[in-house]
Amino acid sequence: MPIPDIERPIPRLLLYYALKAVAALPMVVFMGPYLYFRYHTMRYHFDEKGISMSWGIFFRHEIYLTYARIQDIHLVSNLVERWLGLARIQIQTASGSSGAEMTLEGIPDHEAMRDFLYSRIRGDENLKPEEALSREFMGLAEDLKALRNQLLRADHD
Amino acid sequence: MIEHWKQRLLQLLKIPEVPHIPPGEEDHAEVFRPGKPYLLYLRLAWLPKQAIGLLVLIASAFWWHGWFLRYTSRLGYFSPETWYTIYLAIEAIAVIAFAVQALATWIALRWNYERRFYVLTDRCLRIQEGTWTFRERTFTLSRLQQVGLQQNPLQRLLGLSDIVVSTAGGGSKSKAEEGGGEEESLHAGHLRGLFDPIPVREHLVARMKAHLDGGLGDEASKRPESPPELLESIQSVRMEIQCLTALGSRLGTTPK
Repeated sequence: MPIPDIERPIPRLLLYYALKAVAALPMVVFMGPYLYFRYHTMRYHFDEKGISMSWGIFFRHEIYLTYARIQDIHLVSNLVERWLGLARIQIQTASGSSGAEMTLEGIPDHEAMRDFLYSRIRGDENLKPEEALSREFMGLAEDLKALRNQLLRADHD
Repeated sequence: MIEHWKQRLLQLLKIPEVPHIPPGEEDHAEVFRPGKPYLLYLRLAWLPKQAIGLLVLIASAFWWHGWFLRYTSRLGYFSPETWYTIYLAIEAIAVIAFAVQALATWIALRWNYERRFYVLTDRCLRIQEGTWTFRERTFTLSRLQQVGLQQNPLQRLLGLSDIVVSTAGGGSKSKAEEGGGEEESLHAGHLRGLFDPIPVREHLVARMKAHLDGGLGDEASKRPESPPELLESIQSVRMEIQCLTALGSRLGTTPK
């Protein structure tokens, strides 16, 4: 699968954030600006080996993790998010915290993103030595056949 | 009629109706669901929680009654009768809130049961669960650290068991954000209410035994169980044969 070229969350996330801030009624004074700046400073960068994500204006955060170290992927959505067609992708690595190490929000096609991350997790390579062996054996057989044909032709000449 | 409304509600809730199978793994994916008694189990577990809630509601009504009326009689403002009406109104709101909560959680039990899917492939285990908050967890089998089987007395009576898988990292149980979710670590997955857990367990254990690395995403070349000498030897044999073929073709073209 190609590496996604996503840098910013979709604008619908801002709508969700607005609803979330309003739902936190007394805390809206704090939640509103926090989520507003979180949305506007949220940046993703997907490269060959991993994802970096950054956000924050006063307290800046940046996380980088590699696809190979991803352990489990959670796709989470509450009722409001489902209605808005949003979902959070929570990515777990083997670090100690029980919470998610990185939460991707506002991804245009979260299902496709989940499938992309899943395809990049290291994990089924143990099957590959066997596959590599059988491939090598196949190649060996082909080479032997070619050699036999060559020798046969040389003999006929 | 009830069925119609139920369908309408389910449409409004937008809980995924079908399990999502990882692309490319459709032919060896196995989809299963909790056993039928799981719904009964959920309801039986629901009862004591609601009973405690009801007891608290009744006890507080009595406790409040004395306190509220004594306090307000000293406070004045309104006549004792008006205060009593206010008391009744507050109690009525509490009772209605409790009833609505009880009904909603009771209905949600069925959705929890009906919209719960487990997908098992050769590479991953996926758990789809949740009503208000929907959560889909995907665990790669090579990264599992433990597979456990659990059964409490009630589950034993109903013939159900839970399979618990955990991955590295642990962490204490965290309250799943925004309510709705159950309290558990994000590094563990629960296959709840399985009727026949043994084949699933066997599959998981077999996959775990096949992966003897740390389960931390190590590079393939460092795996102890892949015999690199064998692979290398076959590659060198192949190279020899390619050389031989080249030699053979040269021999074949040189005039005798």
